[in-house]
Amino acid sequence: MNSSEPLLQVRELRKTFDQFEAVRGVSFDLHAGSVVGFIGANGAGKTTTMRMLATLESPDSGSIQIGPWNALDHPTQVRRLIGWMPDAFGTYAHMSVLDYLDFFARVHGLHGAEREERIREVLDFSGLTDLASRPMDGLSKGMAQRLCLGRALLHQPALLLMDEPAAGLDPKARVEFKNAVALLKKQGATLLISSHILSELEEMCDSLLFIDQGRIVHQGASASLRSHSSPGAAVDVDIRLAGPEEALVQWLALQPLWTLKTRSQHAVLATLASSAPETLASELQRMIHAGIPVCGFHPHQQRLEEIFVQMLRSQPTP
Amino acid sequence: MTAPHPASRSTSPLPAIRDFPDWVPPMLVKELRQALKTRGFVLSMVTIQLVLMAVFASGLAAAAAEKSTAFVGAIFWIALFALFLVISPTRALGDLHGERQAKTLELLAASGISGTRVALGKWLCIHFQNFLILASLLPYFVLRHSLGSLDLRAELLLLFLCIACSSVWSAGAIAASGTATLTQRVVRGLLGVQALFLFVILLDAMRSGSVTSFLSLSLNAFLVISTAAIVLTVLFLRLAGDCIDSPSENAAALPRILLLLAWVPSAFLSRLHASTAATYAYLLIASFITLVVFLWFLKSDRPVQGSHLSPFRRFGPLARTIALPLLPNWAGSLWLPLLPVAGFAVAATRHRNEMLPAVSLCAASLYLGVLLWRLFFPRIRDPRIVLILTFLLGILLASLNHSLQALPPSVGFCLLPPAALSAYLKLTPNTSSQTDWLVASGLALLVLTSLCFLLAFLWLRASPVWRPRPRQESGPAPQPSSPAPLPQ
Repeated sequence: MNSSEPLLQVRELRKTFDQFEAVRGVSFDLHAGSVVGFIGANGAGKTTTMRMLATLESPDSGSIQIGPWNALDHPTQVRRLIGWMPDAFGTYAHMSVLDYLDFFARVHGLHGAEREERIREVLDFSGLTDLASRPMDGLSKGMAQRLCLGRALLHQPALLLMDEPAAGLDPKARVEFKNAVALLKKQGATLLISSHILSELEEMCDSLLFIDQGRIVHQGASASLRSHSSPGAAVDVDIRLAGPEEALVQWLALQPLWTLKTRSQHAVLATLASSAPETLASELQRMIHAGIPVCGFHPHQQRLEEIFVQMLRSQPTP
Repeated sequence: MTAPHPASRSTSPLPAIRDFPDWVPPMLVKELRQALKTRGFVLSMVTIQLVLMAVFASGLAAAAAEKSTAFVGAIFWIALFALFLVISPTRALGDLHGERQAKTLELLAASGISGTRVALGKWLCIHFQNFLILASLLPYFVLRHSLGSLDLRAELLLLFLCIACSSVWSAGAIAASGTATLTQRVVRGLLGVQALFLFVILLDAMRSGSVTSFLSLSLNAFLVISTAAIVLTVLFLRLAGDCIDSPSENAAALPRILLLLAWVPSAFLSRLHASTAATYAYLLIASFITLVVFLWFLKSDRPVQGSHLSPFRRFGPLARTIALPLLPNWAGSLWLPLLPVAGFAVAATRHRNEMLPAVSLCAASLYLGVLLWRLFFPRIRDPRIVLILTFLLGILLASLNHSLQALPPSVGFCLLPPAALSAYLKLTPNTSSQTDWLVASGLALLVLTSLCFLLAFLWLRASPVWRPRPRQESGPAPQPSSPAPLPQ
């Protein structure tokens, strides 16, 4: 494979369950060393797509090329290249953390000292060394998730597929998980992480893939989504004052671009008809010229979730 | 990639993980690590020891009082029967079902281990445990020898039969554990019947004083039973693997090739024997394997995958057409009804018994009838129900007409569709009209089979994956579809 070629190439992937078309022509590329978030609402087709990439489901049509292998024609070779971390996985009774990792290391063909060394590395990476002898069915959700990540890394996969990896984790475990992803990213790992929580992926990923009703609706960095999202749309501005708010309320009532939303002592929340930075700057300047004692001027940045929902609403219904 | 962060490296020593050498299959290692710690294994081990200790104490007391000690052998064997034929398969019945409920099968499938290796690991583990228990019973063999109630040849033969049956039953139970709950319940019911049967044997053995008196196996029978046990075990394990493998694996090819290999020697061995009973024995074993394979793949609605065809692609369109019968799809199993026809026909060339072709035609027409249901009534999700209902209807009608008596006992009382349908058709040999009917029905069968083949072929050709598609490597990759425009 040429180094400039993508590690993962997905083309026109389709999957139907009975009458329900879960995935409708998904296509994207993933380059080695990139961390990509795969985002969509529940039922958007994320898990089905991820499972097809993991060779656990077969598409009705389309192709998946991972490294030099076509996943449909060579599933066994593809499984050697990928690490799969599902959203929910079971534990084995009467099995310790170490036994579990040892079993999967054997499955991946690791032998003797190499296997022991690799297990030690994975235990260290996932911070489970001190729990190696503990029965795996006694682990907390966060620990189990770290163990699952460690298992997926045992054979040093070229591509790590993580389906809703932070689902059900408490805040501490989420932070630990983010740290683990950051560490993997630093080491040059290629990751595809699916989630329906945008804020979770925004910090971790280089770029994002948005899926809705089985189709990719946007791909790119989170900044590109922000910059593309209705640049002229209205924005709420939180204005703090050094004196009484009465003067500002009266001034706002005369301005065509402004609408008062709420007022409190020394503070006003108002909507400006345009969120363009130039408009914001000129309006602030006009307020100061009008003698209003402004000591704080904070336009609310739209959350990515809100931008995403706006974008979905504007999509034509298939 | 994925080297640990230097700061996170722990210096604490890891516990030893060298309990099994590298050459032991990973799945067996995992199963043994789990199974040897389970309460079920410990309880089986302790219970069987306690029971046998009590029985042998009674036996020694009886020997001292110069009374019969035959009951010691009977109870000893009943305990072994229960272990091998009831307890082991019952425990195997929860194997894949348990993994499925615990959501652990998916990780196994994604890790690249094949379904058959998973099933084989579980099967080996069951037998490893059995042999551990068996090894712990060796002192009792010595004790029985000292009591003078040990017929070594007969008992070794019995042990062989016990292990052969246990192999098949355990493999079958593992396969059933991966299927729907209904199948599991049926197998559980059969195991219950088997337990009841053991109880009857126990009562009989207590009366007669021996459980080995019925044994008189010839070398041929020994070989046939061994071969059948091996074939059935491999077949069941492959079918169990089919429950785990992703649809991109072709789990159908091996069972179908095995089936073909089972029919060829069965048909020719049946020709060698002069006795009708031996002829039927060979053919019925092959019929049973046909039934299992047929029922299994009848429910399969999997689309044809590129990976299934890839081994045949390089040999061109002819090879892809030849591959049709090996594809994991109900349509690919259309040729199976022809096997009993051919097998019974070969046997009939030696034995001028008109019942043989009649039975073959009945078997084939029954299978074919179900296939036709599958083809024209696709809403029936599980056509096995149709097969069972047809079978039961045949038995009922035959019973009403008292025509079951017209059948040879080996056919009439075996739980196979040929018996039911031939009884239903009230076949009475040695009449010219009957022969005419056989010729007519044979022709009709051929026409129907050809029609089914044609329809299945068209159905497969319509599948998008079956159509030749450009290889990824051979041409430029299509560009990703551009995402929808963002709202302004």
